[in-house]
Amino acid sequence: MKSGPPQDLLPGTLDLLVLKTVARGAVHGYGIAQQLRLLSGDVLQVGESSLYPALQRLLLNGYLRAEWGSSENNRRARFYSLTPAGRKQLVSERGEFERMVGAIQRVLATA
Amino acid sequence: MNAVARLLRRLRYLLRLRSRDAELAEELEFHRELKLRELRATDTGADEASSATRRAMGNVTLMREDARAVWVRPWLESAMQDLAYAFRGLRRQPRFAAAAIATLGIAIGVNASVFTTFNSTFLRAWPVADPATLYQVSTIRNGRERISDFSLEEYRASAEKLPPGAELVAMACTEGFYPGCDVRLDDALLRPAYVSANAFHALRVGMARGQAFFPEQDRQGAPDAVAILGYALWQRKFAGDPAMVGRQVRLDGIPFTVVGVAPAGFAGTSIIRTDIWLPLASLSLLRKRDVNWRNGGLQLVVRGTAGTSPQDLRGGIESVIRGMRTRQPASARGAMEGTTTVRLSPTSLDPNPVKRLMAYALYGLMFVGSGLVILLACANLASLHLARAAARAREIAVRASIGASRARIVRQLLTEGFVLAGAASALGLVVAWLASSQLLAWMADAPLSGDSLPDITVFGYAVVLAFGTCLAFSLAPALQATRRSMGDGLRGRYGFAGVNLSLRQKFLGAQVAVSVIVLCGAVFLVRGAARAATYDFGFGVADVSAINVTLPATQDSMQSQAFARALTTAVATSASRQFVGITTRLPFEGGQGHVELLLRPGQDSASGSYVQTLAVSPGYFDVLHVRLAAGRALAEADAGRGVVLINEALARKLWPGTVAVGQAFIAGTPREVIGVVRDADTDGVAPQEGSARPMIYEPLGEARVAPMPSFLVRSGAERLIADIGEVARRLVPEARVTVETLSRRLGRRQDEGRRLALLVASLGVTALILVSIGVFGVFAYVVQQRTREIGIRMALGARGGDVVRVIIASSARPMLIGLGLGFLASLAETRLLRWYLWGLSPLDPVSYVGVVVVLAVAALIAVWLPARRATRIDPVVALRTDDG
Repeated sequence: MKSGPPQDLLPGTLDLLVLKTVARGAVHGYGIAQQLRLLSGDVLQVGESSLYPALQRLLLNGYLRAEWGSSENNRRARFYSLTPAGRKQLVSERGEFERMVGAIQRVLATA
Repeated sequence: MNAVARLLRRLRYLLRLRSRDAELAEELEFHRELKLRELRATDTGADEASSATRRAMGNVTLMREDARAVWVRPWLESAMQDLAYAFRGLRRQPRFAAAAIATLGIAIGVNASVFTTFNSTFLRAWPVADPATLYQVSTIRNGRERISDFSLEEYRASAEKLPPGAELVAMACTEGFYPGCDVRLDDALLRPAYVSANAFHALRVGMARGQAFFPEQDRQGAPDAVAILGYALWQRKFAGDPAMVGRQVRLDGIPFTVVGVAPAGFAGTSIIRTDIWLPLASLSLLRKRDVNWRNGGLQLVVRGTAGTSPQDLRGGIESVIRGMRTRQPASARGAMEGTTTVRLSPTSLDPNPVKRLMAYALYGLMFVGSGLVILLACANLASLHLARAAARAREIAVRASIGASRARIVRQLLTEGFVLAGAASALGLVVAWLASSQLLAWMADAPLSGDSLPDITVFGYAVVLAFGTCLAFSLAPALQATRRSMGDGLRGRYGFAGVNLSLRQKFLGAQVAVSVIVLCGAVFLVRGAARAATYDFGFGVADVSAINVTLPATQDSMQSQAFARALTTAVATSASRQFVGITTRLPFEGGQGHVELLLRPGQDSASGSYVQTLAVSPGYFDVLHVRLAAGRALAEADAGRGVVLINEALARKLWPGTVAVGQAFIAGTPREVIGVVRDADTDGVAPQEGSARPMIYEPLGEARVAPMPSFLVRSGAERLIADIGEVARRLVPEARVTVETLSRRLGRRQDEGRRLALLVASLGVTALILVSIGVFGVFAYVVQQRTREIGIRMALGARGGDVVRVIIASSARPMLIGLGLGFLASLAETRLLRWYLWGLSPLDPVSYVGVVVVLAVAALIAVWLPARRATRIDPVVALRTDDG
């Protein structure tokens, strides 16, 4: 199936989505991109060029931890998992996001 | 907290940059493989899948860099590249690097040493706990700031009015300069500090042994003979004897009990080491008749508390002092003219405002001198940089043509400069570390209270210096190197005369100017110091010995008056009296002697002037070889008749153009001038003040208070000296007699100038070497750049002399301009140095010619070597060279 042009994400949501994806269990970079696409029903296509810098940023901030392990087909792969700080960040970012979406919806609903 | 954790993670990443890079690459490769498999699995063929993958992934390298940029900022990474490149470049030219770092490092080292001593003298607080709440108290009256301006009475009254918790400390003689402060322990002369009993407590200085003073040990009138030893004295003199506390030491023959030993880290509150501390009141136990603190002389220090502001402390002290100084009968000191303002300032090792001005001038001179040497070194480096940049023109052009921006290349060249300057500053700091204590000790000419070592302030100074010098010597060359068009650089030739020498020539001109300034300073100071040794003060300095007599403190003032009178009479009536000059003030005593208000008949006291008055015996003028200019000499029978001699300076001032002999005036009492003597500059002020001070010489025995006499005899009169000592000891057995030649007394006064001359002379030699290197470098460069031209000239028949002329003509103009500017600046400079010239004219032609000759010889040698190479150029070889 051919995918359409990737959708622009709301600014700041990529980190939240990555955190959420990783929260489901340790996963490598390719896996994150896959899961995001599948879970969003092909709507969200995260390009590698933004995924990897985002992962590095989360590592730098200490929200993620990376470990080398072997993948499903026994290749060496880097698996990302959530740190306690990351779990806290996920909760707070999620709350913030929902507050935002709620606000936008309220604005739209008045029309 | 979070920021720190992030910084740590970032650092950990940086440390393992290479393996992290490899990990990232592997991760992306893994991603690519999975993606490829995915695409293959869907529909397309193998080839198409792989190119589709590449398309989908985009520029993997860029992606990797983006991901990495999260950890390592791009500017940081390129700066690291620049640094690595600069280090590689310098390692390829180790001799250039070593020479550049050494010259600049030594120049910076000298400058940083001067700054370090300045810092430890003026900027650093006292080495005590919590110096922030400690303030030095000074007074400002009639526009002059003074420390040591407080009397004992003022100290006590101010101390009582302080807010609770604050402490006021009185100290005296802390600078160790006042004559009469020092005490003798066996044969060693010690520098004591007299302090109030609370001093160590207020300064928060604990004892290494024993205890600090107790208040009851410092009662005026009933003091205890107690002392606290300085650590160095304890170590040196008593070998660190742990049982020293409780023992007795004899100070000026009087037993004092040691109650404590100061810690190693505290040796007083001035630059010069304090050997021993004594309670203020113990002054009366010692022989210090000429020192008392009834009229000032105490230095106050206040220790505030966390709660009190310096303004409160200041206001409190000021109101007390003002009250005491205006209410006349309330103070023993009497009313004073002018309102006194009290100022609190942070403590520093040299708080004396009067000396500070002179010291600032001295330091200013050394700063400027060593700063100029740095400039010389910078100009050499800039010149070399320019030469190197020219040699690298092709490389720079290639980099520019493949897309490096000018800013990027300039930054890279600046980085190279900064590596050099940074290394030189590090070397300079090491030099300062090693040399500044020596420099300070050499300038103070006494043991120091502490080491003068670079601290964070000096470090900051060195960093600023490094950046400054880096900009000074690499910005201009870098800008010029990158200005050249790409095409020229790539072609590698600039035509025959197209080399832009102008910047180097400007450097050369500046260097010549700077070295003229430094050399002129050096030559004038050295000649001044040499003149000082043979300076004519208008009296015979050579072969005269001065004899000083002092009494122990056991004698009260009545007894010492009687002694002074008896001693004067005994010597003045002895058989050898015409070989002895008796005086109340020895030559080169320093400061101002006894002055009288001089009024001409009918003149009111507001318009009178103060004139120094000296009581002398008739023999005084014979011993010092001071000739009579008019009238008659003093005779023994003149005492008590109100007749005086005056010097020519006073005669010129009072009766210009008329005969002074026979005139009358009032100075304390009515006086009649019986004779005029030639100006004898016994204060040694003529070189600075332009002429000798006006003087009145009165016969001995006129003054109501008999001052202690001093004696002058021609050297070699050992018998006479022994006789005077014998007479003194017959009157008071404990009288102390010291003998010193006038030359030695004068030498002490001239030491500072001599030291300064030596320092500036060494700067001058450095400047000469640096400018020679600069001249050599420029001409060597000219020869190298114009090899082809010279080859052609020689092929067409030019001879060696013609070639040399061409080479010299290429840079003669900037050198001459530099020479002219340098001499102009020197005219101003030598005027400023007048203080140290001892009458040498600031326009002295011999000195200027000397500088020209020295520079010319250095320049000739520096030009001759490259010029000789030019004349040996083989036209055939020269024309074949590619890079000419």
